[in-house]
Formats: sequence, C-alpha cells, structure tokens
Amino acid sequence: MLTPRHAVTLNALGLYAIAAILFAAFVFQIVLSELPCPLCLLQRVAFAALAVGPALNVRFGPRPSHYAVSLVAALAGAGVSGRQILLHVLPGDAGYGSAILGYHYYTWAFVIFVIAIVLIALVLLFDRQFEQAFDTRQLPVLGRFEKTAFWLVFALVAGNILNVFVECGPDVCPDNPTAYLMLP
Amino acid sequence: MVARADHLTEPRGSVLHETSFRGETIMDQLVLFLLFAATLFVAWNGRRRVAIGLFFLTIALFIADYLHHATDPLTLSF
Repeated sequence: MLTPRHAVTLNALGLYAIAAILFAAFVFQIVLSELPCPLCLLQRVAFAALAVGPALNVRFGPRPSHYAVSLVAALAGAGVSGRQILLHVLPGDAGYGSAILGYHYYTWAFVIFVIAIVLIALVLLFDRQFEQAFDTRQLPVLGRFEKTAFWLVFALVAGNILNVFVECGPDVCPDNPTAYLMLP
Repeated sequence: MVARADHLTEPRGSVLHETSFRGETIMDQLVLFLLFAATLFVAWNGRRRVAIGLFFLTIALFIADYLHHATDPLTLSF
C-alpha cells in the first residue's frame, strides 16, 4: 500500500524526473545548437508547471488537489505538444528540429505528458496516502533527497528564465529562431 | 508584459512578424517561467493556497499565450 511517506518519496522522484527532462532539453539545445521555438518553450513551461503538484505533495503531504494541479499541467502540455505534432503531420514534412531516437522533441513531450497523466491517475487510486494528511495536518519531515529534488527543479526553471531572455531578449520569441538575440 | 498582437497586419514571414512587435515589450514565455518559478517558491515556503491560486492564474496566461502562438493553420484533410 502507498503510505503518505511513500507518496512523498514518489513525488520527489517525480521532481527528479522533471529535472532530468528540463536538463536534457538544455543539453540537446546546446549540443545540437538548436534553439527552441515558441511552442517548444511552451512545452518546457508546461514541464515547469508539472513540477508544482509534486512540490506541493512533498512540502505539505499528498492531497488530491495537488494531483489535480499536476493533471491540469500535464493536459496543458499534451495540448501544446499535440498541436505541434499536428503542424508537422503531413507526409514529406521534416518536422521541427532534430529527431531523438526517431521522434522529435514535441513527440517525446506528448508521450511524456500522456505517461504523466496515466501515472497520476494510477497513484490517485491509493487512498491510504491521503489519510494522514487530513487527520493530523502534520507536514512531512523532509530529508536531503526531497530538498535536493525541489531545488534541482527550481534551479532548472530559473535557468530557463535566463535561457529565454538570452534567446529572445525583451521581446516576443521568433517563430523560427536562428540565433540568440542577446548574444553578439 | 504578456500582450496579444491582434493589431499586427503584416503577413507571416515578414521581417516584422518574425522578429518583433515594435513598440511593445512582450516577454511571454519569460513571464510564464517567472510565474511558475514564483509558484514553486511560494509553495516551498508554506503558502499553499497562494501557490495554487498563482498556478491557475499562470495556467490562464499559458493558455492565452498558446492561443497567441497557435496561429499557423493546421493543413489537415480528413
């Protein structure tokens, strides 16, 4: 059974997974010298949004409302990435950016958002995780594992703030960016 | 800082469309990242209800920004 303590650990693992995705996006951006388009950036924003639910669960203990926050974020991300898939769905369209393991970033993003929705639905099946949170209102005792998970995600979201500013400057991001506007 | 550009009449692909909206400061994705970073920070500092409120406010701005950027027609033929 999923106890409140197990749920906190599981949500911390979720934060690590989101941090890994945001980090991988940075790595591919730099290594392949491919700048993210506005819809690509919106998908990264959706991953940042997806971190809010697990962060709340880690900080305050698991609650259905926190999982609802995650579901809203995952649906928003799936909507944006699904839209970008449809933009490049016609035969002969090379897609935007490089393909990683046969799929473009937005396709991977769509798959990950759908997986997140399924996982959240599965975790919500375990009622026992919610009992302690509502009975005692005790906040979880956080160790280094949980704190590191949160600050890792926070640092990567902060890194994205800097990245967007360097790429687009104080302006709207171009549809097909080819250079960092704030770099000489 | 997030604004729509309904006034823009230049065709897609023009220099103005691809580079900037002159006379306005639009940092749409930067603002969204900032707001979600603020949401995470507020949540971590014990303000649960504020964090959830901020989350849904930012999601509303996210959807507005998505609609702003989703201007390309989907060339589908079912």
